[in-house]
Amino acid sequence: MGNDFQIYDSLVDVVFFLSVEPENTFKFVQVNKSFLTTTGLKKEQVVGKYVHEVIPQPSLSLVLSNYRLAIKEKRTIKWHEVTDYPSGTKYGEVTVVPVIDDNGKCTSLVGNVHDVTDLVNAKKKSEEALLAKSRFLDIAAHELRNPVASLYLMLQVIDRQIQHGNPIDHEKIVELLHPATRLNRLVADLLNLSRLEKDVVKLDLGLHDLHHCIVGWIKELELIYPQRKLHFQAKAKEVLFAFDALRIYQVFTNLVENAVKYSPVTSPIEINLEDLNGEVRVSISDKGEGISEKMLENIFDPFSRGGVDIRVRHTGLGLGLPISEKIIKLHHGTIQVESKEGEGSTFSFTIPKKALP
Amino acid sequence: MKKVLVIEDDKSMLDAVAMILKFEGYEVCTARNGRLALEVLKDYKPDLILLDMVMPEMNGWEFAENYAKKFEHRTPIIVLTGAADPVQRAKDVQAVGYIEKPYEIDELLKVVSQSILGPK
Repeated sequence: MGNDFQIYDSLVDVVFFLSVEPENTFKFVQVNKSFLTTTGLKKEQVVGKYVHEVIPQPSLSLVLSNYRLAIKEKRTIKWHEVTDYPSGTKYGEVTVVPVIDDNGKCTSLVGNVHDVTDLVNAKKKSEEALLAKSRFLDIAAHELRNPVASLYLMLQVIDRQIQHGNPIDHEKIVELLHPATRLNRLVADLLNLSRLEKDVVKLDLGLHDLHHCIVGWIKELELIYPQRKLHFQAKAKEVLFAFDALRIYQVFTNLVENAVKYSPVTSPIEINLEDLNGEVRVSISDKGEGISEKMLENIFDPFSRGGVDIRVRHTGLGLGLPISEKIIKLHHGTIQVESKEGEGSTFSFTIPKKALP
Repeated sequence: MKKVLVIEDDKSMLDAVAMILKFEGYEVCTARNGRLALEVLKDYKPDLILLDMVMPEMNGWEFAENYAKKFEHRTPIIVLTGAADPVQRAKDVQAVGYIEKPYEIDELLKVVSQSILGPK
């Protein structure tokens, strides 16, 4: 086999050649390049080694029993295999062919593995995405149904008042505005995300002082949440660069409102503005309940509001963070979160300080 | 006069239901979540409870569990729900019925009067 084996190096699939050793054991005689890149093993860790020294359990038992079956029945054996290699968990479709010598004895095996890891992972991802979408639909239906239900009921009440010749209650009309406003906000969030996902949003860049903007935004938020203490800290007094003030305002208020929502009324919220080398960093920290590691994993993915419990009242569709992430990305920046359960969370975004184009 | 306790976190919804029931001659008491409802029930014995399920502080499931544990009187419960599985939700809290949101005034009144037998 020797040097001839090199021709298998150009194959995408994994190819290996095994010798049949005493006591039903097997040794790797040759492997192609793809074997090494797929597993992340070095040639000296494989060639000349016994199969049981290379392939970990639980795959090893399956592999050995299939090799033995191929020899015993003198036929090609195929199976699916999942194995943890240094390069990660690999999914493969394996085929092993026994090589029979002139005396009818099987002295070696030739194997081929078609790596389907990417396929399997893509399938898993799409299944997860489907699940997340259906969870999102549950929440969306519920969130939309509540204001619709109250609008529907109240309109019927008003209709009855009119039918009975009673004067229309002005208060009732004003009350109609609450569910209508809620509906409006939910639909705006959906539209916003949909536009951002389709990449049809163009930033309206202008030269602004972010420090000055934040001071104004905090004043506004303090009017909405008078019971909350918003501490603002900034070393630089003027941070002038080009950004879309309306969009960054959206990100900023979303992060502050999350902090308000997920931390106790009495705890302060720290807001920090740092003027770094060529970029600015804004961080918002709360001393709230924090976020579990599982939720942190995909907190910026739309439709993934981690660990969604349909029995818990959600306010809104949970699209604030995905929308914020997309806006920051449009500014060529990054958004991060650090959190510890029971201690609180810090959300921050960093954007490059650019001049007007 | 028959008494109805309405437990619902959506204020406009709560006000509308209370108004309709009062207009029909029921005595109505309201609570914005399960915890407040348990407070009310300490010295108020309604003939019927209309229960929203998804609420802050204490949801419908927790309310029903606490109500069964802490109170001797058993008032029939009707679940108000916008969920895809209203029957399951009603079973969860051993309710005598459910009303799917959004609903018509007549439907609400029919279910309420059927659940409270006898004169108003």
